[in-house]
Amino acid sequence: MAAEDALLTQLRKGVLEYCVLACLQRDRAYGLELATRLSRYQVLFASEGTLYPLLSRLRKQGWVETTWQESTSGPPRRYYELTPDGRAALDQFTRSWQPFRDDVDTVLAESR
Amino acid sequence: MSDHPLVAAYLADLDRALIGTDPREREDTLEAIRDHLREALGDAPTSDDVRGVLADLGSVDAIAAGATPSAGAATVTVVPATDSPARLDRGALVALVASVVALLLLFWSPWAGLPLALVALVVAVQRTRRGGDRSGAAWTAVVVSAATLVLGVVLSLTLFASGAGSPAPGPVDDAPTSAS
Repeated sequence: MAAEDALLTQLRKGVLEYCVLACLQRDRAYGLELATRLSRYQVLFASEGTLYPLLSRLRKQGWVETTWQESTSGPPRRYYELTPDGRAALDQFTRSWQPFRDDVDTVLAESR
Repeated sequence: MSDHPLVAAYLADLDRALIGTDPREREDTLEAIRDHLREALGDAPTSDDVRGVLADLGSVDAIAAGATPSAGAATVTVVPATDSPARLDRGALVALVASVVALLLLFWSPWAGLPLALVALVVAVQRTRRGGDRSGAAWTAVVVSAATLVLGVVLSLTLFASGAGSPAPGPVDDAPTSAS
């Protein structure tokens, strides 16, 4: 189990941040909302909390920005939103991912 | 919300777990998780609600593992090393230079090299006893001067032995005690 965890941790590197960008592609979201969207993908996101250091990095990179907005049910919410740079990075990833995935699938299938 | 003891304990643990991570990520993460908890728990959560929400967030160590190590984290471990240039012991350095000079003198005249090597050895040993010889200069001086002493004594004895028979060649003529 520990070995599987370590493997997944390794696999998630370089992929997770683009999955977060993808989840923000259609519309912006506040933290809990985004965490709830992502919690459906349990292999990708081991726990909701790991989202937040990632969001901080994406902000630092200028791929995501935050804005405050009044909430009807409590204090203002911090919304996360894609920047044009973030959108470009996501497009780039999407273009590269397909051939990358195909190659991995092909190698695994052919070497059986 | 954060009045709940489990939440307060979790946030305190998270704060500690994030020590050594990038300061901005640490601050953002703590802030965002506080927001998350406030949203998820509302005003009057039961202990079961709190446990459930904290379980979904996951362990603080897993969160911290996803954060970037601080650029300063490297300097934290380097602290003892950064002050080593300042601590470079001059006495040890002098002893080291003296021991090397003594070794070189030995080739010119064994008698001239011996006293200098002895002085260098005494100084170097004192320096190693003081501790803080981070550069290793004092220990190097101990080794070089001790080797010089041994070599000098061996050379001298050899010269004494051979000097009794025939006049010693070359440099030994310069030595004050060489056989006439």
